[in-house]
Amino acid sequence: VIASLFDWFDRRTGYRKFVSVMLLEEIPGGARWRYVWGSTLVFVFSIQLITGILLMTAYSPGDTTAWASVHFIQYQMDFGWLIRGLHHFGSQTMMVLIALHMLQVVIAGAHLPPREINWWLGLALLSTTFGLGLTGYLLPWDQKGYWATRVATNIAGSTPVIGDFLKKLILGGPDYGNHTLTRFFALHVGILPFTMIVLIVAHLYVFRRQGVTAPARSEGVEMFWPRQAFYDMLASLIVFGVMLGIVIYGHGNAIDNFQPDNIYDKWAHAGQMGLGANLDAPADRDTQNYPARPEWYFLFLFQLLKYFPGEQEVIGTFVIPNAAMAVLILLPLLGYGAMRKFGHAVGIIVMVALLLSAAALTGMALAADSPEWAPKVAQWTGILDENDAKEHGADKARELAQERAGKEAQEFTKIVHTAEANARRAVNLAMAGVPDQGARILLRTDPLTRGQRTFQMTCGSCHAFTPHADEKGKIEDGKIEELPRNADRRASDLGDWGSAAWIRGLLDNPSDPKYFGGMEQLSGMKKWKARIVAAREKLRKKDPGKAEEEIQAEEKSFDQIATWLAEQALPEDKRDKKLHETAKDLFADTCGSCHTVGGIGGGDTAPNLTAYGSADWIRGMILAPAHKSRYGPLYEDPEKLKGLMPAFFNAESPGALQALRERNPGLPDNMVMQLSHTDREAVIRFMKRDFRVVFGGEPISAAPK
Amino acid sequence: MDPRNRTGPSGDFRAVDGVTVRDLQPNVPVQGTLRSVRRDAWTLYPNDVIGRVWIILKKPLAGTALPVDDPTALEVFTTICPHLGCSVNLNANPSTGFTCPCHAAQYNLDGSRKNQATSVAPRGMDALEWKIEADPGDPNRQLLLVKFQSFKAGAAQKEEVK
Repeated sequence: VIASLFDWFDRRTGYRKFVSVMLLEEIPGGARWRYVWGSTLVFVFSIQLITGILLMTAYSPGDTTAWASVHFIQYQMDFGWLIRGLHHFGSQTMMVLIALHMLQVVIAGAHLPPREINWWLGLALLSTTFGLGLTGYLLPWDQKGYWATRVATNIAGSTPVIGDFLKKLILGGPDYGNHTLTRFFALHVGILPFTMIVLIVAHLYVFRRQGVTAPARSEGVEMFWPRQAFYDMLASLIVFGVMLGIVIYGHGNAIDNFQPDNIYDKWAHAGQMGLGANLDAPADRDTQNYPARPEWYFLFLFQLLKYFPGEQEVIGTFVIPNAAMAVLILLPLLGYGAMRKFGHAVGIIVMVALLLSAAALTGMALAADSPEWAPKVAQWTGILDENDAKEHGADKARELAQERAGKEAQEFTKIVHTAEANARRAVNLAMAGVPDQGARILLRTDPLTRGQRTFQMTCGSCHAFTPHADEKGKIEDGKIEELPRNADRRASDLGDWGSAAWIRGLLDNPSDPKYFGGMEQLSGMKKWKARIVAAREKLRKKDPGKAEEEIQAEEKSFDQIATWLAEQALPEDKRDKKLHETAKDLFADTCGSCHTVGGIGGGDTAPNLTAYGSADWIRGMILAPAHKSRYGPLYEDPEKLKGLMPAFFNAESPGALQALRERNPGLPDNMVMQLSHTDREAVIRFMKRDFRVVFGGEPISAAPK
Repeated sequence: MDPRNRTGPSGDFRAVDGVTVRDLQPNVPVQGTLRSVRRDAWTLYPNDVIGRVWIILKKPLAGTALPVDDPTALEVFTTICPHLGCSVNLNANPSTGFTCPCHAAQYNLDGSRKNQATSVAPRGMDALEWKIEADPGDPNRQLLLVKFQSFKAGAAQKEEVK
């Protein structure tokens, strides 16, 4: 029955003839393993098409959306990591296979007449593949793609005559943005794959017309099916296995605290374990420094650029690559008539030389970035600093050049480390969602990195910051850096500010440099302490036994006050109600003549401690340190202003200056500093150890906790 | 397909963020950012970073007065490398100048190329116009304003890209 169904189908379509034409190709000399490379390339390209279309179902080209959508694919879409990983490493696999394929073709002499046209079609396929690689790695709109593409497009811009126009055309304007992405996207998923398919069909058609190039001494004829087909399939399977292995080996950043619900969840979202391709931090022109490097298969071109000074740059960007291509195009022409043997040999030499040069340049590029190897590269290339050579002679200059190369590589390694840390941070932050302003906002408003840096640069010029033991480390490792006390950092240490321990310590010794020791103006607490100490001395003289008892009771009441005060930062329902009943009276008695907490105490000569330790309290301190609810009284005496805290406000916000003046009576203009809303909020969150991204706008919000 | 449909960074003078001229040390470059409204095809960014600049004070300030009328007091360079557009870094030892992390173009503190004959850079770092003016919202505050421009990479002559 089944056979008659196939017959029915064949009568209408003639599929059997088609299949036999496809499979029953004659292979002179029989099936060979070395014929597999072309087939593996078609196979990997098919994988690129399939995974590419799957990626398109979730990708969104656009300045604010591209990175976010790729992040979603990588970390949240079921098996997105696998699809993206195969696509990412598939392109690199193609580069390797193309090199092997070309090498095999030239060694076999398969580029020589009458196969010139197929060689040229192959070269066109090579260029198209490079084009796909170049356009593809911009699409995630991450730092790596962004900065590498800046270089690549500037290279296009250096093309003689049409450079400027070409650059504008591919960028979609004078600058990188939405239209750069849409254009690269159109090239990557439309124009180039279409070109590729047409070229592959033509390549195969011409190949079938000429047949394989069998070695001269081979005998007999074998059909493509089954042995060669089996070889091809097996080779493709092995290639796929290698690709899969690379993807599963994992090159991405893991998400902290990934806890899969079940085995399916674990593997569907294995991107969160760091599997698949890497995703760098979101593209951001506001980057202090970025170690821009192209994908490894372009490194040889990158390295080439280092050898051509200024005006001659076009030799590296345009002349040499195009000359190499021209030589490749001309290779088959050496195969006519009596030249054939010579042409074959030249072909092999040229191909091997090109591949070796590319490999050498790639190796040099990698070595120049390694602190260990960079001095050696400098030694081999022998490029000297002309000033050094003039001043110290050639030998010393050589030494200096090596030393400098080592230093540059060390600096480079440092920037790479920072960039990697940023990428880790960004992909973790984006798990809570990407703000509508785009993914670059993630790092620009991240309390842990940006907030901490802003704290260091603004608050850190006067305040020390001692992190808790478990959070102390380098900012690059997602930790908090210590800002030790020094001659300039005389204001209080804010590392633990607002905690019960901090307050308790202040009550113990306000003159400690950790608290108000470095600030002469802050005399209130010191005077209070002096009075306590004096009173205790008196008591001890009177009745030592009773004194110790009373002192201990008083210390206990300080404990309670500190704990209660630290709780003022919490929402009311989270505070300890029993503690409140006893501590509020203790506070009123001990502190109330100067301070107040929501009416308890009622003193107004020292800072109002309502909601002390909360984000709101810090905000008030940053915007209005001279307000009567903060340190207003201190600012009344112009003699004592020096060393007091300036007000930080956002000059760009309408009406901000008016509000600033009203809130800070007596504050002179040179004690007003600019701090944007988002930076201020990032600093506050940093101090509160609330590391959610600050979403801009009014009111300033964040992802839900 | 007309690239003219997109507008690039605004060429107006913009206040520099992140740098206080009063705190600058002579010949120690400091990086600042420039913000502006930015239009990228269909997206409008009301207040986005349009670029970064290196600011170098050439000689010590006299007292607290800012060098309003002295055009040689400061130098401002865009961080964009004139070679191929990467971001130029300050060396670990600031007095030795700048290095681009991409193709190792090196510049002196005054922006000129080191090793002119062999440098990959076609010209020195691109200086930008600057001025110091009173803040329109607050005459008591003075702002450092810089005119941010992009220049063609890889060309010997400084040629603005619009």
